[in-house]
Amino acid sequence: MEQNKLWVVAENVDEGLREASFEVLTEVARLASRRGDQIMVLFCSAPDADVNKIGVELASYGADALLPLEVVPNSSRCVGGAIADLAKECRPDAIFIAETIWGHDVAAWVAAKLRTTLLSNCVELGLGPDQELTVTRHVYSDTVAVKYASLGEQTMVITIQPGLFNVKKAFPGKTINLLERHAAQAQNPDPVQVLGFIKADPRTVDIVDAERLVVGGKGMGTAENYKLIHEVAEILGAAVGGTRVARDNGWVTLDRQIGQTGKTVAPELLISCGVSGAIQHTMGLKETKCLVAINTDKHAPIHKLADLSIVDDAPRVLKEFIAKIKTG
Amino acid sequence: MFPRLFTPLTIKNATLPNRIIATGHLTHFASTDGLVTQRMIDYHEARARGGIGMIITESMAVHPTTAQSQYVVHLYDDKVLPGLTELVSRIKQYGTVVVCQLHHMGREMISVDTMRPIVAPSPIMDPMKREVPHELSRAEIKEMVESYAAAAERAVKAGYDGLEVHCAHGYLIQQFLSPLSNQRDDEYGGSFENRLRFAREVIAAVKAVAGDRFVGIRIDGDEFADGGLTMEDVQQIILALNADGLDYIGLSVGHCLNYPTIFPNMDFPLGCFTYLASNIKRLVDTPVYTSHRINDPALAEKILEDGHADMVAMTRATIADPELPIKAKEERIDDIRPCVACLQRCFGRLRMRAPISCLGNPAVGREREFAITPATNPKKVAVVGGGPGGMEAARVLSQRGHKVVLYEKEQELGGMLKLGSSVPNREELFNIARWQIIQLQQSNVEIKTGYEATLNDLRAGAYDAVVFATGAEYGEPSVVFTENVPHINLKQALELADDQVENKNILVIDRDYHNKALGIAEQLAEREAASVVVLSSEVDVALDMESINKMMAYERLNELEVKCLSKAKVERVNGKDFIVSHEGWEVVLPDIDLVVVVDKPKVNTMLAKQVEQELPQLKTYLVGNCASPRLTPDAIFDGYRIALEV
Amino acid sequence: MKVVVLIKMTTVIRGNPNRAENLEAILDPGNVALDVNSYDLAALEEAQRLKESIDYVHITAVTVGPESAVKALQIAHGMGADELIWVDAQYEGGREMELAGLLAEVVSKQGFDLVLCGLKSDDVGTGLVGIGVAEILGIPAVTRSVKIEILPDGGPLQIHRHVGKGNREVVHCPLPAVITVERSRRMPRYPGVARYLAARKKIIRYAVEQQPGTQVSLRHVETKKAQPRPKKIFTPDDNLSAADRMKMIMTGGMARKKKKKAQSVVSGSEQLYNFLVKNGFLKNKA
Ligand SMILES: Cc1cc2nc3c(=O)[nH]c(=O)nc-3n(C[C@H](O)[C@H](O)[C@H](O)COP(=O)(O)OP(=O)(O)OC[C@H]3O[C@@H](n4cnc5c(N)ncnc54)[C@H](O)[C@@H]3O)c2cc1C
Ligand SMILES: Cc1cc2nc3c(=O)[nH]c(=O)nc-3n(C[C@H](O)[C@H](O)[C@H](O)COP(=O)(O)OP(=O)(O)OC[C@H]3O[C@@H](n4cnc5c(N)ncnc54)[C@H](O)[C@@H]3O)c2cc1C
Ligand SMILES: Cc1cc2nc3c(=O)[nH]c(=O)nc-3n(C[C@H](O)[C@H](O)[C@H](O)COP(=O)(O)O)c2cc1C
Ligand code: SF4
Repeated sequence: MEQNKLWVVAENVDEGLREASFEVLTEVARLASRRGDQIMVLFCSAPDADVNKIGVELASYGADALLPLEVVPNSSRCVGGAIADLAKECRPDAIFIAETIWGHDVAAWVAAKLRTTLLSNCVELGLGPDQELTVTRHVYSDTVAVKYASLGEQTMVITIQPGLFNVKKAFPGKTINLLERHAAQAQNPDPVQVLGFIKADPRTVDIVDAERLVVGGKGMGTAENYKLIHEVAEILGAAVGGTRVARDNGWVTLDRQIGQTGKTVAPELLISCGVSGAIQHTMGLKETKCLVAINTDKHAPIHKLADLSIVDDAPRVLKEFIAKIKTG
Repeated sequence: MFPRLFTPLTIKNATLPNRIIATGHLTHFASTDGLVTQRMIDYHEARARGGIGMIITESMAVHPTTAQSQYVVHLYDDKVLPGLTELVSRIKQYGTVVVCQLHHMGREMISVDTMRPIVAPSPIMDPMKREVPHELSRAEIKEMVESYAAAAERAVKAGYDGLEVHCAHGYLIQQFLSPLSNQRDDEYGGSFENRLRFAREVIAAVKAVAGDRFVGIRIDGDEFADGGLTMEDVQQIILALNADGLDYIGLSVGHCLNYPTIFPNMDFPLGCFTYLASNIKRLVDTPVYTSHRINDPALAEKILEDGHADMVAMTRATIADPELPIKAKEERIDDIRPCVACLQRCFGRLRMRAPISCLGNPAVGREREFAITPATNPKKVAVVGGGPGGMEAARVLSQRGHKVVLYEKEQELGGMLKLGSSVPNREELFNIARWQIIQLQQSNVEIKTGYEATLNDLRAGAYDAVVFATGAEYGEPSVVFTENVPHINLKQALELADDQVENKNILVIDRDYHNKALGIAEQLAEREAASVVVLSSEVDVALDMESINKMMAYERLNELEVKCLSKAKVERVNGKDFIVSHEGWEVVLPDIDLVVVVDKPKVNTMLAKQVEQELPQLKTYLVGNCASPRLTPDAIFDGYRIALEV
Repeated sequence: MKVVVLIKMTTVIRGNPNRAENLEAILDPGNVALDVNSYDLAALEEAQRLKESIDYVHITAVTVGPESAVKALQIAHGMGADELIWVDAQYEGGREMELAGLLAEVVSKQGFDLVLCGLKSDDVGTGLVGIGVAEILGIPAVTRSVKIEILPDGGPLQIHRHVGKGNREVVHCPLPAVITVERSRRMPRYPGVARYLAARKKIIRYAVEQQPGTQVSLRHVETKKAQPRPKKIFTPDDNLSAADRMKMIMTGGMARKKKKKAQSVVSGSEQLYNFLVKNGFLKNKA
């Protein structure tokens, strides 16, 4: 572990690791290859996780070693504590974490336990004239950039803003040193108890965060018809979005416009009603998992992207759908 | 509305008033002796007056061995200095920064204009131009480097603020950089360092004479050719050149193996190559520009906001509307005449060795004669027909102070362009009509839609003049091969119901020679016809179609498995089987269900002729397809020209 | 219950910083103002709500900073704080843990059941101090609270914390504890003018002998005008063939889906219903 000077703490999500963790890893790997450093990835693994498979993937992004952690309980405080203990022992140059909610909390605990500062939400990593690590943070609402360089005596704790760095498998075929699972039992169990989870209200959630969306375009025809979009959204627990035309017509507000000059969404399900599928709109749909298109025009470009194409009058389809649900 | 777009940017000693720039574009306004002309000066002055931040003037020849055509500026000769000095000072009057593009085509040209052997790092034939170049000797390379410097020195003398070394588009410098075209075994070929050497030497030589002027490059961010330079390779090149010192870096794409990307048509998504600039911007502090398919200030602002680049090239966008920057600044977004990426009049005309113009903007290259001036004696004018031609006439007439009534028999304005933009990948074409419609709605033109003008209307209206823009129509198919199979015209084909298309074998006869046969063929194939074959008697289907659009269309047709038969003739028909001769071969097209004959449309001059007879005192003009069936830019040009004449 | 709220003044840039040529223009005194950290206002609001929900809450506002920091205390008083403490000291960036140590000392001396503070500051936004105080005091901490409730009969606090995408987690936390507060839909109340004006007389000033401190191992390289960092952008993989890279660009990175032609002639709503059921987005009612 000692030869790994750069640590990346990866964050779990249901299907694997978070995209933002790969962004961090790609960027750190770029620096490491210039410095000749080794990277160790740490992640909280479930006992049944296929660490080999995860290792192979992480290696292709540039990781040299993988350390699965098993922390009980796995609150951010205990995870941070376990990482800080390891860091005291191995003295890495820096620990990188994506600035997500979990990432920030873990990083703060690590920094607090190491009694060092936290370089949070960094936007740029680099190397100084003597190959020392440099990081840049934006302060004063993104107007001023401050750059720091490591003096190398202490471990730096750095979180990195998601959504900036492209992910890239720059090291296809690279192999990884899979380390033995590290189990840590916190001495003082975290007294904070998690009791439950409350899902966001789809009516108010930011469409960027919405898991389901119903989107209307010019083909909905009237504001009156647009209410059907809201009704269907209500039924499916979805949020409402719109095209620019829908926004221009005042059917949705700007914060619900999807596309190049609006937002990029990443729902599991998106039902697109009376939308032609102009590229400026569909650029915002890239991350959509499952797309249903309802459009009278069989040749509308949106149909080419859809998992289900319904060539039909959108207001009518929605009306009948609502009726079917209501009558059971 | 566009805070970042209108934030100044300082490059070395020059300050751009905003981030909108025009990248180098050949105009063919130079004289055959390689001199700057008044036309070229007027053209650029109009753009500077429109408020653009920086103009990179067209690629200029640094050496007598390079010429795209006869109409390029001979920067290798001092004779250009007076004209060039005038050009530069006119542009600078408006605060616009002006940059000279230093250019050598290497092998990516033909020798027809220079009548000297073409030159390149290695004697490898250019796959597009098909001429084998002379391999530059080391002495000749030295001479070439010196000629770049000498050309740069002239540009400095002429007063340019900056110099751009053209390392893009597969031209000489890129030919040295790329292993595909450089197979030398001396110090200019082989390793990365060696391939980079020529570029380094040229840039160093240019910087040595640049003095206080800035020096930048334009380079392809990815060669998009297997075995060629990838994005990563180019990044290494840029980092190396930047380490030597560059004042800006311009990212571009396209060369002989993927020519359409230099001039992306409407197939290409907006801003589709911005990622190349973004990925460089992450690595350097030097200002970066991005180009290609950025035609809307909102998109440009977004690119700046997302940090992908420092400057945004809107080259064709400012050809189409030189006032784009001012209009954006004044938030008159709807007034911006859009570039629809048709290439018909800019690049399309370069290919025909003619000076550039623009589909939607006839004043390009005619800034002086086509200036819109108030009419000395305002008249009452009827315009019959609301297609692109009629709308343009009405728009300009009303701007000049004439009182205009516009008749359109259909409910909506737009004319045949409504059909023209309904075929696949031509949707954007309608944006020009949409712009005209908005302009007319804001003007005091009286618009009568759903109203067919008659002799009586024209008689009763007390008009001083009538402009006919009644277009052309598709009549009976000009040929019927057999009674066994229905034959229809283009318009009917565009109106087919699904069950008339699905699972049908369709033969399209191209007698239009432009894009229409390919357009309808693609549409029918997309609508799941069983098979579609396009047949032309010429050497190529869509022979006269603009070349980039044609290349892109061929690719899409290929994917849809539409077959094209050129130099072909229907010899006979057996039942529903068509026997076609094709360069001496006989091909059988079995079981054809439908033949679409794409003819040239026939002029619709009925009303014009009536007026000529019945109201001889009324001054009449013909515009667009009703004068002679042609394309949209011709109709718009006619409309504009006639409106100035009335 | 004794609640201590940690608050501070933050630097706010006014005008249009995008247009500023350079750092000097951004930091021109005419453009720079001081304001109470918005997250701290949220924390004050939470404290006030606790006070309203039970009748034995005593609120102490603590700020560390130069003379200008006093304004934060005035606002806190205006919003209902009972006691105001001004620690006259200054900590530059990078010494958050020393600041946390000092705050831990102050709140311990003061006596407390609950420490509330903002999740982070608007200006430099490190987001370490709250957790740092909890770590030094060795007490539990809950981050990103959007709602705090006191359970009856001396039970633990029930806290709703924001966990992303608008979702919340409900946790229980025994006292004493540190809670960091997220800005939420609850707008902080407007400070009362009379209490605001009366605040100055109530402020207790602690002068701190500033220690040289354990210098954090960082060198400040430069401070300059922030350029927007390029956002992630769709980039085809170099390892793909040239044709494939181009194809991805032409479709904006979104693969066109080949699908079977709809065979059935069921109505649109039927198709929609069946599809949603089949893919688990809707429970079949039939
Ligand atoms: C620089 C720039 C940026 C842009 N940014 C965005 C952006 O961020 N987001 C965005 O959305 N747009 C954006 N646009 C606009 C975009 O180009 C399109 O104009 C817009 O997306 C079209 O919206 P639409 O699909 O609602 O309307 P239309 O394109 O008019 O399509 C309406 C569709 O509804 C169908 N239809 C009609 N009646 C019915 C019916 N009864 N039932 C079912 N279908 C019916 C029609 O067949 C048609 O396909 C931008 C444009 C530019 C130039
Ligand atoms: C499938 C297709 C694809 C095409 N693709 C392209 C292309 O890619 N590029 C390109 O440049 N061009 C293209 N075109 C051609 C282009 O549409 C025409 O060249 C252009 O529209 C001609 O304009 P115009 O104004 O002369 O006539 P039109 O557009 O035909 O307008 C004439 C108008 O006059 C009206 N009218 C006639 N008589 C009367 C009357 N008595 N009273 C009132 N109104 C009357 C008609 O209703 C019509 O609206 C295409 C055409 C088709 C069909
Ligand atoms: C008519 C025409 C001529 C061009 N000539 C040049 C040229 O001389 N040098 C050059 O670098 N690019 C040339 N280009 C490419 C343009 O600079 C620009 O990259 C291209 O038009 C795409 O950008 P746009 O979408 O903003 O127009 C030319 C383009 C056109 C349309
Ligand atoms: S001719 Fe077409 S592509 Fe060229 S500038 Fe005009 S609109 Fe754009």
